[in-house]
Amino acid sequence: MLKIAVPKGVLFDPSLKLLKNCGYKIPSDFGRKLLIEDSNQQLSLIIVRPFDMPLYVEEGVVDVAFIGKDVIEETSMSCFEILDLGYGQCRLSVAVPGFSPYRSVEDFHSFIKVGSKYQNLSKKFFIEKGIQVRIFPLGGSVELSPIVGLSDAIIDLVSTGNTLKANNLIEIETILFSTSRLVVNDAKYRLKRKEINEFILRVKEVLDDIY
Amino acid sequence: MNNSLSGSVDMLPEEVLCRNLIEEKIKRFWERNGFVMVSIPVLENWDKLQVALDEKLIEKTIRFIDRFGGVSVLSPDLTVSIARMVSARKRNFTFPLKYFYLSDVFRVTSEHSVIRQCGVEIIGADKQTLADVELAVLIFMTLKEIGFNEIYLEIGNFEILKELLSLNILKNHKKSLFEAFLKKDWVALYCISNEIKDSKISNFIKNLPGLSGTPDEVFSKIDLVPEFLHPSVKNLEKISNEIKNAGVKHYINLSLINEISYYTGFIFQVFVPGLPSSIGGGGRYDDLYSLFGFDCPSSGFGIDLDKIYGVLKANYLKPINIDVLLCFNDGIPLHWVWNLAASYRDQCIRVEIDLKNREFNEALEFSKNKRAKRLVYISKLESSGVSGWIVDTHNENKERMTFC
Repeated sequence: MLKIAVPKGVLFDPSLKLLKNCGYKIPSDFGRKLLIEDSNQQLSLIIVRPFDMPLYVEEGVVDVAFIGKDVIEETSMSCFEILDLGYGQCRLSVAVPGFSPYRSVEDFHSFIKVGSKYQNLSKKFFIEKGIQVRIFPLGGSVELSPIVGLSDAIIDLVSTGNTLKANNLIEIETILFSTSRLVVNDAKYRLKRKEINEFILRVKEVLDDIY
Repeated sequence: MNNSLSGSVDMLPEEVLCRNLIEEKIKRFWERNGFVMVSIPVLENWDKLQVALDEKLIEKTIRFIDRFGGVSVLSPDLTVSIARMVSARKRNFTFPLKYFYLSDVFRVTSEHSVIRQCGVEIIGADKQTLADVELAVLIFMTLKEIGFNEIYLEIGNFEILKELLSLNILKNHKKSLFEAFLKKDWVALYCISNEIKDSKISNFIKNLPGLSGTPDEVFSKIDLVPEFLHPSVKNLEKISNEIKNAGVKHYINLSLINEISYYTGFIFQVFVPGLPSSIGGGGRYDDLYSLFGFDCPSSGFGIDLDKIYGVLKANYLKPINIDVLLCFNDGIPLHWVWNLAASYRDQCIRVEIDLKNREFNEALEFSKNKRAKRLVYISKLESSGVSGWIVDTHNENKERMTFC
């Protein structure tokens, strides 16, 4: 039986839909269960928070996972990145409040404060630009931090841009484009080769039909 | 094993015994295969060693300034240290050399700073293919010897990627392609290959991750490989056939890559159930010794022993016990105690002398706690010697004894 990690949040529904389109019989209602099996017992699904997924994959708790490219890059996880699943399109961007004097990161003064969930990517981005900033690690509601004066800017995921607009934030630079990816654990890809390759093929066929 | 400090562990006697049992088995097996053990110092001179370390490894090293102002480094890679040692003392050797080591290496990562490693080195072999085959077979057999039943040995040839990436048409994509292969990022490989104008090369790069599997599966698809890479693939096939002839099941991966930069040709990795990543690997590094001024082909492999303990612990972990606990009453002259203990030890019986005078019942309880098989209790000084009891700790059967 293949063990697959599916992320909570925005990637959850499209991931389940993809599995159903692949022919797996996933129950439509499983309440608050975090561990479910398809009715043919071919798959065991583990539902985890996106940022916990690298651990589940790298430690071999699951064989395969659906995971955002943003999380892969932020955590530098080691795995096989096999397929771009196409859904969950978003970008990791720098945004500032409408009242801010900054309209590009090159305008930033030294030691400005940036709030983000993506500390590593943020750090890397500013180091490459040669700009010294303080990164504040935030767990959620990142948009709030420049509005209430905690930070001068934020680095966060943007999909439609509506949340930024609603909070009077302006996107000034994109760091990374992200979609959902199918990833496989290093050792499992060898030890369960046949099973995993069959699964990849099924997913590929569904994607080829869509795109 | 408990984390005493981030990245290092302390071990209790049972755990040390477990580790020693595994290491002894590996050591004996490699000695039977004609390899001899070398010992490398923990401290190395940074200036001497750094010439052979790549950037990624340098970042992980633990360095400090010694009291003479020189920079020392805790040995981060035993292959490099052995290369330094052999290159410095090469005149006294008859090649090829077959060395093995069991030692700690020091690298700062998020998981550890001390890694227990073992490995072998074949230095200066004329027939390089033979050395490559011997190494691949040896790593497989070593893991079998210590108790792994299912072993996934994957072999490749680093030359394939090196030759491919040296193509002039890939000049602008060389770095990103190498990174993508290293990160096993097939999505990036696909995107980059779409930018390559030569359709044959572009298609080959797209197909390359899929060129893995059993030797038959991979070598039957040689048509997908551009002709200029055929010699490297054929060389791998030759090694694969020899490994097969040695009765070792293995798999091929034409895009196999090692993040340590000194590898030049044949490379391999091993995986076992229960571990999420490779347990060990190695290959050929023909240019490494020249960095120390000695032009000499060489190859080897390393195995992460910490990972092995994690998986095989249950098979090897045994309670520590002694054969005899020797207790004695107050007033028994000590020379009788030493003599009795010595007579047991002469028969290769493990004896512990109790350092406290205890009553018989207390001594029996203590010997049970100590997991001693027998309690020898000296209770009385006789005119010709001492007397007392030998007690089977398990069933408490006791027998009178005298010792003259």
